[in-house]
Amino acid sequence: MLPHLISARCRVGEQGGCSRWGDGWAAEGTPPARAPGRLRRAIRSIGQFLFGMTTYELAREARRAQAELHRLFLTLAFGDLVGLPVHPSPISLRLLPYVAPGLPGWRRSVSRPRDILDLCTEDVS
Amino acid sequence: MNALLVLLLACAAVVLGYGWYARKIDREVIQPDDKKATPAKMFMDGVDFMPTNRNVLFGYQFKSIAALGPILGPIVAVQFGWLPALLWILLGTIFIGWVQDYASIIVGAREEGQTFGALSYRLISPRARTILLVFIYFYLWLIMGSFGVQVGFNLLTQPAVPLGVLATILLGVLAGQMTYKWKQDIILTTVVTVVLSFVGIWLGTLPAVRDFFSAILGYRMVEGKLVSPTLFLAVTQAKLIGSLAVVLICYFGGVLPIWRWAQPINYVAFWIVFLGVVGGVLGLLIWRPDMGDFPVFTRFNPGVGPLWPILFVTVACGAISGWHSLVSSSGSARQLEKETDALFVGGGAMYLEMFFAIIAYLTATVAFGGLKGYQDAGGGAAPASVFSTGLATFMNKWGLPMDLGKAYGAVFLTLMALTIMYLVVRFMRVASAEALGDRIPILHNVHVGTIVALVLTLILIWIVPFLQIWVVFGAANQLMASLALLLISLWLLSRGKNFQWSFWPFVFMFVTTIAALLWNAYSALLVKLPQAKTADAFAAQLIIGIVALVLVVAAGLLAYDGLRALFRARAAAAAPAAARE
Repeated sequence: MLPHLISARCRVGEQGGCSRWGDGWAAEGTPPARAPGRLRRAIRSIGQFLFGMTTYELAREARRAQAELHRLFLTLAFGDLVGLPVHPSPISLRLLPYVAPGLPGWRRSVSRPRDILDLCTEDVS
Repeated sequence: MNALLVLLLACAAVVLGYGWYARKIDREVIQPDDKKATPAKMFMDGVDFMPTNRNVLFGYQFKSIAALGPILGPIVAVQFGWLPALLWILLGTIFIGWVQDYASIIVGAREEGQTFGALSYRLISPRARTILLVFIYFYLWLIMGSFGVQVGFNLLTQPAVPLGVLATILLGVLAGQMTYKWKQDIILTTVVTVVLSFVGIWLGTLPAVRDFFSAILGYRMVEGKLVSPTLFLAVTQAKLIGSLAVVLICYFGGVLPIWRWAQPINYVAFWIVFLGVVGGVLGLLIWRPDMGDFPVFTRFNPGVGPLWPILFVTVACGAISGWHSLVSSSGSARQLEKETDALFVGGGAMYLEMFFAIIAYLTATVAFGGLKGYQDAGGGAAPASVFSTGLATFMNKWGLPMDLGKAYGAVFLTLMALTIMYLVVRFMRVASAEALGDRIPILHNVHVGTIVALVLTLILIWIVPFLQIWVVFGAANQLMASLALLLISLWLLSRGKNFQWSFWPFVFMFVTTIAALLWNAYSALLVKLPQAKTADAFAAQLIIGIVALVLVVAAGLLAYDGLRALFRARAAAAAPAAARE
């Protein structure tokens, strides 16, 4: 969901996904070939700060929505891996090689204990 | 005292407090280690746990902690004179404010991103988490009441304001639609919605529009003043419409998906607020005013209560705030890329908030040329009006018309308050469902939970005077900060680290805020209640007195359990040492 909001705002990691919320608006375009000067670094830092205050939350929300759909899909297809009585179908087995890299993260995510004070991070939903 | 000198003092506080004291604590006590995996790396799920660039996280942390508290608090506190308020903003931040924010992030990061609720359950006692929840519910209710009064009674009742607020809200909804549904470029969305919001604010100041809203709010000219008819209690037609508008806006914020209402509106509102702050600071730098005849110190009790403990709770988030610990531990701690970023993110954002509080402080002390001007603008009872007029005066120095500046300042504050109020309503709704949902299943219904929270809010807005709500809110806020400091001290002790730098701030804040709450309970129940002549005045004092006592009892139980846990931990730490000797 919303790749226009997500992908442009994070540095692309080794596996093609976003491994780190990166440089905000300043990251758009190709990375600089040489080390940036002091002024450029300062401008980039201000850009990152403004991004953190503004668009970052929108991008997080988009990622959250994306993650929820992904979680739902994995639960339906591979729920048996976390103890849900979901009978794995042949299609699940065919999908397994593609989703296997993300399974540890998904298991951590669905089994993480949640507290009501988690809601203080502005994602009270 | 010149405004520039105040800004220089704030810069000196950053150099000494952040550059020396905070770095020393960070280096010698916490000893952050970049080789340690943070929760963001250990539990990366791409959403809540996600390594984030420190500048981005700094912006996120600052946006999450900066609300109406650092604006209204200093304006209320200058009733004691300019010196006590200034000293507490600077010293409170240097010795207590950053300690709590920074340490909350560190504790969260070292404890696998656990929230303070889970930590209090583990480190203090099982009942601590439940008490904390009750405490937080009352605290949030007071936030809703104090912000609601300012928006509903002081800001939306000005005929030039409603159109600007309405335009920004509708354009915020449009921003959500453009971003999430139409998938438009964020820069285009921002430019369109923010520019149109400014047009809306300007249109609101046109005479025809003001006359239209004046008619809706029921204003008539009586002896040269606009007066709205009183409908019930002390609520005029204008105040009734203003408070109902607040409740309606918050209702949508409470029940609609976050991306549909609260978040995009907050996004557009951010730019309005940000540009307002930039415009205000620019005017201040051009003008370079001094405080005129504003007194250094007025008197020990200017009406709001005695200097100690009331000053320390009225400044609120400008010096220290309990809300920050919740955001830091459950938000930023989970996104920390490296442990060494914690000081910059937590401490740095708190120092920036101190500057925010200083700007608000200056609107009250220098914009009106003295104490009389400040009091004529509304004084401590209407800090929102003081701020909007003060900001307009600053912006007038670079050419913005005063009328437009006032409307802009009022829209700015209204949006800032609403930004927090949506989230508080959502939290209250979820908290009531969790706490009472098993016994009263209907509370699980989104609409019922939201309406309950909003009805409680309306009771506070309509009945209780603002200053009383604000002082109790400030006390609850600081008390929560002191409980966070206790938890931090416990954690430091359990890790065998020096805990004095967080323990003594805890002692000071706890004693001060408990004293403030007891003073409020005494003043409400034993002084003002017997003198109450009307049913609503009686109810107001009863509500404030009872809320203050409930907070004292909850905090007392938490502190009792916490100190027992602290002594247990000290004894456990001392036992192996004694055995070795």
